[in-house]
Amino acid sequence: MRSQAAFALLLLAGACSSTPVLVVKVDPADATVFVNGEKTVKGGSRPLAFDFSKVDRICVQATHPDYQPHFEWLDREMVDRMIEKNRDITITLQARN
Amino acid sequence: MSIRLLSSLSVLAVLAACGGVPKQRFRFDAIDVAESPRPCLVVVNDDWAAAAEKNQLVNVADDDELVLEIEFPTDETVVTMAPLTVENGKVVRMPKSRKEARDYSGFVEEPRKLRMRDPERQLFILPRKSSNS
Repeated sequence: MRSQAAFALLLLAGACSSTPVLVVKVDPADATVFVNGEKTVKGGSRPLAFDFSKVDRICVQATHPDYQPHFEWLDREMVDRMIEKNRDITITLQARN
Repeated sequence: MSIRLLSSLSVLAVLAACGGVPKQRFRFDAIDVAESPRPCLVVVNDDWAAAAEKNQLVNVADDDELVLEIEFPTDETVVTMAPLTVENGKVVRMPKSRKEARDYSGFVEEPRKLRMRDPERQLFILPRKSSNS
């Protein structure tokens, strides 16, 4: 219930401002996601705001002790395209050798 | 050389000196896949000697960040987070290449191309070296 309310608030904030909001899904679900080097709450699927007001690119990372870490850059164009196509950011970590 | 040409060259030289190379401030940090701080050397544009000389270290004496002003003579500057082995708060062996960093520490270094308007905080997550890396 609380997460639904937070999601609704984020979507509302996204709609009222130019800050896009995308759902980030990570597998395994207990992996940690970092946005611009800052830790977001652990979890399999959650909406995150992508603020391009001070940067041209946003860095998304994910890590888990049993997997290879993930790193990717997202620019405004990529994020806008994902919103347009109603797509989420899906990160699937690869198991370590 | 004509006076006009000389004065034009002087103006250009002054403009270049005043403008200089654009710089941006970044905060660097490194962790391993279990989110523990990882001691590292922060190497800019593959200048390993300068990085060691200027003590561009992170998480060596403490869990900290390194604040650096990075120059951008071109659109992108490569920053390599090179893992270190530390004992009693001191670097055991300072690497002089990516291979040495990997071999000495047992972790895999990460080079990253940075741009002027990238986020200020740059976190590197370094995995352990595997048998085939």
